[in-house]
Amino acid sequence: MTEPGGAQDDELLWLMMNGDEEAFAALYRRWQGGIYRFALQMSGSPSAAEDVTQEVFLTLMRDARNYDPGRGSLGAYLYGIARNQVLRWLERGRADVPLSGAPEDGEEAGLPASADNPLGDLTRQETVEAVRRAVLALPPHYREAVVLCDLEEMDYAAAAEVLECSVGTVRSRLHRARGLLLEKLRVSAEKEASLRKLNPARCLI
Amino acid sequence: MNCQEFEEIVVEAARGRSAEGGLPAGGLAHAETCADCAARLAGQRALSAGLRALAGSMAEQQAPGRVESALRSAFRGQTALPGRKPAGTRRWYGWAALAAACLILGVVTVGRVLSGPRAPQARPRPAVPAERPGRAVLAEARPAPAPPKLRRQEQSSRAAARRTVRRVRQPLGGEEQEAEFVPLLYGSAPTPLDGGQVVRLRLPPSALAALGLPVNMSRTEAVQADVLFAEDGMARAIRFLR
Ligand SMILES: [Zn+2]
Repeated sequence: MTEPGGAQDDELLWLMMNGDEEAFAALYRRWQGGIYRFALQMSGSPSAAEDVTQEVFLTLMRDARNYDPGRGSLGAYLYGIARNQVLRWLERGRADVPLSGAPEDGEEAGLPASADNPLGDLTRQETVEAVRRAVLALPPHYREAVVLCDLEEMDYAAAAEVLECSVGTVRSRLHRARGLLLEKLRVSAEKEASLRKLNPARCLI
Repeated sequence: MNCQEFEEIVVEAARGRSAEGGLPAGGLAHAETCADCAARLAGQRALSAGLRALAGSMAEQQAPGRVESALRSAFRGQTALPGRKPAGTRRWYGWAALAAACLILGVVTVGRVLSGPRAPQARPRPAVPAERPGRAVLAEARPAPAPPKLRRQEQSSRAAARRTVRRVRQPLGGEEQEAEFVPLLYGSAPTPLDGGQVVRLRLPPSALAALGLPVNMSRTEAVQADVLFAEDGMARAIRFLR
């Protein structure tokens, strides 16, 4: 996992462990965005993402000695902590706060679809929302593969470090996850299309 | 290229991560003659575009500034303590977190005193709260029902403290019951204390660990406790509500 320019992570970590607040702040600023987004995309909950981010860096503060550079990058170590926190949160069944406006009763994660392409244009705003919901509906071990590899654009090796599995496992989970995503989006698009046929007035809104 | 071979390369090609950066010539030729694989390719490309758009829509998302502020306070707390050594040489984190927790709890206390007691009725929580000022601090406070007196004998020895800590480590939950106050030791013998202000808090496991208490870190629920602050603003004792 590559780190942005400036001092190396290990150097900042050493300074941090010697009481340098700015070094800690530099590490925080370097990694918090990715950690926060990972937690947000995994949980769908901004408050959970905030808690996870805070906990990750409190853990770094408390247990920096536990980080072993020989076992992986600092980024992988931090994402690993975040992952454990998120999985614990998901296990508690707390995935009850939608990331943004959840569909109302009876409304599916609709995709504007055309006869030519049942998936429609997935870059449109409302369909981005549908993709987001489809990702959140994936089982966690598939979801994390999509979040790390496709949303955070990690390569397989870096994702494998975070997920503590082989590169081959990451690859196969990602492929399976994408298959599931396409299936969910296709079903949603077809339901949306049939709803439009039944209720054309809806299209005028 | 046959359909099976196509299926093996189509995801990486659609992600732009194949060795060729896209679909190899053989794959393109196959997609032109096979409707199923052409549809497979179109679906994967649309999905990649959708995921890229989703990633783009979240690219600027980051933790609110209050998280950094709270973490900096926690970090700063440790350096304010005398006799601090580098992290690699001793368990400084307990002190760091302890000082941070005391600092934060003190801030919360002052905030609560200034704003007065909270109305008891529950408010519906918005789906996506824009601001939750209490989150970045490690605990949420509300005034305790009555300021208790801390018994001097409870502070008499570390052994007594350890016994008391063991007692309150029982599972929490159910009806609220007040345990005895446990002195919080600051690396030296406890000092006598005649009184102070008690604040009722909900403390997450990390804050409990910060206070130097034995915590099962696999626990995730916050625990309700009364914290006794001395005149100097330092947390001196804690009792858990069961
Ligand atoms: Zn084919």
